[in-house]
Amino acid sequence: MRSPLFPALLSLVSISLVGCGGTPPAPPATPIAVAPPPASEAPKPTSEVPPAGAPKPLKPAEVFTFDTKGGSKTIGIASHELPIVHVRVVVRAGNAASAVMPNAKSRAGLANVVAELLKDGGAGRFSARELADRVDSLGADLGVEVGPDRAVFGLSVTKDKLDAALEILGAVVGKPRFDPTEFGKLKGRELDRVRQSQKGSGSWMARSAMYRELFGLGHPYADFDANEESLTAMTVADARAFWDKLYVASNVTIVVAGDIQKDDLAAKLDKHLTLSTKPAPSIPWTEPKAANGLRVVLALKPGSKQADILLGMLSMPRTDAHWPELALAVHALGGGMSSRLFVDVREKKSLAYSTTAMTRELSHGASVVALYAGTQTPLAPKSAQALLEHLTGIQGSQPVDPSELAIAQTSLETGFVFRLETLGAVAGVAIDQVVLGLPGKDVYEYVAGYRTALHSASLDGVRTVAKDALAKGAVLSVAGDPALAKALRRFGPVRVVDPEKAFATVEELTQDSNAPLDVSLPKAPPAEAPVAK
Amino acid sequence: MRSRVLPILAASLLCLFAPVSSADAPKAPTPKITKPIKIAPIEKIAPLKPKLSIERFTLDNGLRVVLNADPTSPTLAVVVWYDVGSRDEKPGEGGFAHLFEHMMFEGSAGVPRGVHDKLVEGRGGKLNAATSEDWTRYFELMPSSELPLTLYLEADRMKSLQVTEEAFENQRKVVQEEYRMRVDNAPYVKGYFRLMELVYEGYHPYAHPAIGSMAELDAAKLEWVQAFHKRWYGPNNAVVVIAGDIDATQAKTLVHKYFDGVPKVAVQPTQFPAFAGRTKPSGPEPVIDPNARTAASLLGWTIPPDHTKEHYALEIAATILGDGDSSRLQRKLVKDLAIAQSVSVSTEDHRGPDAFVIDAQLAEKGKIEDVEKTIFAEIEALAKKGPTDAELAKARAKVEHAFLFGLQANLSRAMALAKFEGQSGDAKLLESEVDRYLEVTADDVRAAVAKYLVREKLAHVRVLPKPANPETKPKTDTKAAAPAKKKEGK
Repeated sequence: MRSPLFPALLSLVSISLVGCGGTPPAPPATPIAVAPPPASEAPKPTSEVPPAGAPKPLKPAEVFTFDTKGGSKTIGIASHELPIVHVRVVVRAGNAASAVMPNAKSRAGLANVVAELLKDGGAGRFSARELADRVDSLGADLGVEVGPDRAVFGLSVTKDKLDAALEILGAVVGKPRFDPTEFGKLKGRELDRVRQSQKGSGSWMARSAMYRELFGLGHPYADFDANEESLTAMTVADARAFWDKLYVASNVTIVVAGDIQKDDLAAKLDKHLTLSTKPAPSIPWTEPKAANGLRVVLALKPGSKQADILLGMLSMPRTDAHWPELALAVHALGGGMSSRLFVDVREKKSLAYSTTAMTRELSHGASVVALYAGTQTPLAPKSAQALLEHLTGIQGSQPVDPSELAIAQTSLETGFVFRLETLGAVAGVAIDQVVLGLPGKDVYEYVAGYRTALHSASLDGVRTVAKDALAKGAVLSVAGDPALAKALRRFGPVRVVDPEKAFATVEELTQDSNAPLDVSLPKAPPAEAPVAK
Repeated sequence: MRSRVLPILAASLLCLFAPVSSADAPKAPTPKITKPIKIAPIEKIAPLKPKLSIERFTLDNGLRVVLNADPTSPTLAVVVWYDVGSRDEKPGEGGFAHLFEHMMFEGSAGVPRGVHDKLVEGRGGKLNAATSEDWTRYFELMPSSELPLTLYLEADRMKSLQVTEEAFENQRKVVQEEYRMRVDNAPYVKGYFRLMELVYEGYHPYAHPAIGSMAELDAAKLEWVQAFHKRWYGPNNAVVVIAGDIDATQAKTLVHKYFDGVPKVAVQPTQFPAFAGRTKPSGPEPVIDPNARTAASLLGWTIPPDHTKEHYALEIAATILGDGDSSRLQRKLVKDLAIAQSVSVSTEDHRGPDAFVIDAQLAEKGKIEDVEKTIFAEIEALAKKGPTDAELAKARAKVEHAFLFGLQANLSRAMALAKFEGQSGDAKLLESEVDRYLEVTADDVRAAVAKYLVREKLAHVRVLPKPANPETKPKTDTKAAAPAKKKEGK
């Protein structure tokens, strides 16, 4: 098997599959160009295309729920076709939950460090070394995934190993050792990782800058990852306190999908999973700072040959009844290979290999919508302008047309069929349902309801949402060479930040609506000089 | 890329290897042992193997077809696999197989530019393609009711391609943006490219990257497109796999309907030069990387091709060395000594002469010499004593797990079946592939490591961060480094 260090090289994929997208508010200072022709005007096939078939219905697995004796909600998704089981322990202890901690300096990334420490630091009767041996003996990987609202611990095993898997997960989540030596090593690895991102990952820099600007420092969603300051300040006592507050029974949901029986599963969980019955603390939510107009941030990545451009905005809560219309608008904008961004920014203007529009669903308050393009440095301002034009276009000057809506509806509705193809994937959708507070008595009812809402969305409804729901102050976040700063002034006042110095502001530039979009770069050193003598 | 169902790797160390004593390697702190804990072994049952419904047939025009019916989900995957990759490129034309792959989305006789994507997404599907050194494949993931459309689209672009100059120039720029994203802006990648040049000692098929170079992409010509299509993109050089919720009889009828009329092409197979493997050590060669914050050590050897007995043994060795937190190098370098941020051990899985690669990305406090000593010591130990029973049991468990879980999704199965049909001549071999790994003994591993992972044939690159001040020399000791070389074999 090939090395994960070079995932980009495993094979060259010609097209990046993309999510969904939407539009922000503030009109750009530049003239609005005419948007690409709507899908209905696109060329048609010249020969007979096979007609659409009648889709078959999904075959739901049996779903049951119960509470463990300790008080954790459990969702079982039973199917006996294969002797395998996917176990996911979901803790509402994502990065936003760090806001419950008193020491603000060590909050950013604390959730991630705690989850990794639980996995790596030894638990219950297992030392760190024994735990690793035990997991590898199952043939499995102990997965840990931390997002803004959740930490998920997962093991997928054959049926005969379910008891061993639950013992491991029960120990990891419920009996961590908080070994100071292991904590120190983990902290070192995290510092290395973050420093590498600060120096070498444009997408990480653009995302970090965008979230900080959208939510404002101090907001639970402002930091999606750790930074050098927070990691330096972090102690094993912080980790233990975070776990003590948040890894409690009422804050945990267990999702198990596969060849399972309810009674057997309940008995095994009661045997292996013991958590505190303390109430979970409330996260002190605040409103993101209100902002008008377009804010521009340039995260410095000197010498970068390509800029990562994100145009992000706060939209509606995920639980809003009009979310399906938003998802459809975002999909039409940048959700696939027939979307506006792909067709225009990539296939017509040749500005990017990867361009997309996507939603970031959050469990509290407004969710985030973002448009993305990765573009060579000299053309990055033109790419930014194109994103802004498409945003403005879908808001009203070039609203979603019927054929775009039809593609988006079919694509998103059917997308759920693929998302439910395997039981592990079904577990993933069930986790989304739990964490985001989505309706439905079980995962299949939620999916059925959502697909119906997508199907019945009207063109007017989608256009209205595109116009109204994306108008709360957008952020144009660019990670790239310092030479971009002047051209970006065309779009708004520019704040230049240094990712290697905690995103500190190093320069503020006023808006210049007449700033040329052309970027002049200093002459590059002699080509092909990466090899040192 | 090797399918997820075969995630086994290999490594080996040589007896002729200039031995690096284990005593020279940095020592991990002795773990504090309180009370020994008795952990009951996990109950072992007979391995669970995937049981697949596989039907194979060949059309008169040479198209090999594999049907894999699985009604679990009302979806299907179609993979069209072509026997051409970057290994078939001539020097100076690097990256063209991949650029051509983009052309396949730019219009065919019955489907104008942009319509293919729209039709697939308008019916609820997803599509993409990938190019490796050894093959190119296209796929659609569709509701099971859309098999006719999928086959129609794939057949149309197999028999005809209509690409305009505008589309060609557009995709040249798109691929160059891809190059900037994957190579120019990504840490450690240029070091990896250099390692492959050294590993293959000028053997062009695998010494050059599938994405080519900017200069080669600049030099690509529109007229090459039709010639490439004519040479490689015919039914007699392709495999079609349909996996998922299908009626095999109906699927067979549809395959005939859409592909029987696709004419053969006059495939001119590439005449690959002989390459017996590396003959000498090279490096450590420093590569300065402005995207890297810490150094990395990249080690490579040539090994036998994929699906050979020794390759299976080397894949098991790679698992023992680097797969999982309890593997030897993960444990030592990352967990115990904390001198590396990450380490991976892998085989490239080429159908021709293959490569075995170890890459260790250093922790900020790590010294590259310490990391390398540890790696060499572990390889040497494996070459001398072989794996323990427990290590072999863990590796086998990982193989079984990977096959069972990796073949659940229609697309994963379709990709694996296409590769087996295309490269090994029989998709059904996938069913017994797990046995090839389970048959590997501890002595097989020891012998393969001792034979191939020898210091005398090591290719070695050190990726070094660009100093903040250009006048500042890298902190690491580069005295032993060989002078910089240009690409070999070009």
